[in-house]
Amino acid sequence: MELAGVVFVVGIALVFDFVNGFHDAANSIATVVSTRVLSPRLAVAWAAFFNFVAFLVFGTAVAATIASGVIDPQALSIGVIFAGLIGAIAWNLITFYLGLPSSSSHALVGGMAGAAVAKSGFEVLIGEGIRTIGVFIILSPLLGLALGMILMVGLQWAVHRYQKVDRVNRFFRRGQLVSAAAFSLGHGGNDAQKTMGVILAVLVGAGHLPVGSDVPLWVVLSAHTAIGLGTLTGGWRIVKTMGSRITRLQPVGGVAAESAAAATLFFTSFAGIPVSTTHTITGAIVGVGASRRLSAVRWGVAGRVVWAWILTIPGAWIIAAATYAVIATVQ
Amino acid sequence: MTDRRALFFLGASLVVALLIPLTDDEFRFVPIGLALVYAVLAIASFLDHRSRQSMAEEEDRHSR
Repeated sequence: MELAGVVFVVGIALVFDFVNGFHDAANSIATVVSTRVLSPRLAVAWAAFFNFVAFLVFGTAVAATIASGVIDPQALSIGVIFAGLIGAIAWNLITFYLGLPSSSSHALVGGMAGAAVAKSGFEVLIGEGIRTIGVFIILSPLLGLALGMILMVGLQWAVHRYQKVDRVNRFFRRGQLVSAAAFSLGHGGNDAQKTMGVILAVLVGAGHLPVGSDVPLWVVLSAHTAIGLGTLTGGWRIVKTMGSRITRLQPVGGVAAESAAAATLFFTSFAGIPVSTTHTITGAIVGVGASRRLSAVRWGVAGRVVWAWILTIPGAWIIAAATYAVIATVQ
Repeated sequence: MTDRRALFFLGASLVVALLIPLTDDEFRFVPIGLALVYAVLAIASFLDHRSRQSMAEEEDRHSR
């Protein structure tokens, strides 16, 4: 019975990962598609490939943070993790419907924390881990914004005397292939590791692995496969529908935004800090726009990100706590 | 007219500076560096705005 529960919750975690790839694929390929460097189909395949191979580049520091750096591992039962995942998935669906650019990562942390607190009280939360994640919720988009702006100004300065505009554009169009690949690598690295962390917590919670274990290879591969398949499946549809609504960035802007976001994700993935890839790329795009003038930025989007910052953790927390209360009553 | 971009960068610098004491020692270099970067961007944006304004005034005077 318990093994069936473990398999079921691992399956739900992989569904969460698949939906993450499905939902966030547009972030990494929107600029490549809008500047017509790649067709939507090729762009999605490009992103999915780099989502998958991210396991060769990054370690599992983010997974370790999710598995044991936020909530006391002793408090993580299968019921808690299931309720946490339901809280995160439900919050993602609600915000998808409302058009809020919420973070799957913050929803996951909020959901897990809400379910664990509902089971064992606030003492199970690890203050240091929660504080680091909270600080980087604000820092990661601001880091992306600053890097995006500096890169944009630097690139424009580097080519401003160059007369052959067509050649410059062609160079940056090709450069976007590299920057989109780097962003997809960072997305796969940071986001797939969150699912690995959840699966590791399930396996530790059910006694299949001792506390402090490394992430097994099958978990690494299945998490990267799920996010890659999600990108491959959903990205195509999302890009197709978004096609005309994408803000038209110049190739140089696309390179600057994606490189800035990728650098932020690389740093946080190596440091073991789970951050939102959506907020990071949004910050970087705002930075590229702000390098011209503030009115070039669609501040409505930035404002919605701030609302998502404020609401996501409490929202997922409440749903997960309510789900755990139902599970506890049924048991 | 005030330079809204400089004010935005100044605000960002203050927000990031407020996060310095909350950040672990291991990562404290991130908010410290970022607060400095935003302060520099605020100053650069302010100077850029002022030089554009004075250039516009100069052109205006010449055209009269």
